[in-house]
Amino acid sequence: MDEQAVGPDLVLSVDAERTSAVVAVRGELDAYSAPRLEDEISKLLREPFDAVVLDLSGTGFLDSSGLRAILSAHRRLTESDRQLLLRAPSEPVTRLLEITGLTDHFTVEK
Amino acid sequence: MTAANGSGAGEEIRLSVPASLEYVRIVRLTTSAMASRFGFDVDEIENLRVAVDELSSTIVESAGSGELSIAISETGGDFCIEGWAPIESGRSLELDQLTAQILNAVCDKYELRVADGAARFVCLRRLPTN
Repeated sequence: MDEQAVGPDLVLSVDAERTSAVVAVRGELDAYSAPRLEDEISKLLREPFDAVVLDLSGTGFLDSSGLRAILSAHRRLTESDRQLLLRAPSEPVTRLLEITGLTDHFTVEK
Repeated sequence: MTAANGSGAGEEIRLSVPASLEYVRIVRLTTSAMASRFGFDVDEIENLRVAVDELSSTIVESAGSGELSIAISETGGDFCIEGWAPIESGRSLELDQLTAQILNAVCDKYELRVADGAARFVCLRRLPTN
């Protein structure tokens, strides 16, 4: 597992599960920390994973910048014939997806 | 951070942080604490946290440097959050559709404007009636 702290309030950790990369987003994904998620996705696009799973169970806060980073990840992975899945979105994540009408835009892993 | 007075109605909190995105989380924390103090429930506190984050981030991204100032108070039955930061000459505030959609959902009323050399916002949310 590769783990990096993005400032005091966000930790991204990456692990491999079969042909997927699982990125655990623990903490607060906001305008300050969102670019680091985008950087991580850029790195993963260079790896031969079939899918990226964003584990959002520990995401305590999400704003429009964080949501844009997730949307960007979805678009970039789709363009390269790969999948983005969301795993266990937390209450703040679910709330923002509902507010913005994007609940059905993403595939939530079962 | 200072309090205008220590109790009940008329209480006001003022906070100044560097006008940088990494400090917006402190504004979120303070807003959560104050919203709890004014009797909002968990869902409403989360809404206010999102509101102040979106508004603060918007004006900070337009601010050149200096400080982001926040004032949280009760005004005429509303929980009122005001923020301002100096704006570079010639710059304007940009609010995209996604951010506007979120703000419309989490604020009863909000305003973003440039005035007197500063980017400013106001967010109002009706106080809970218990």
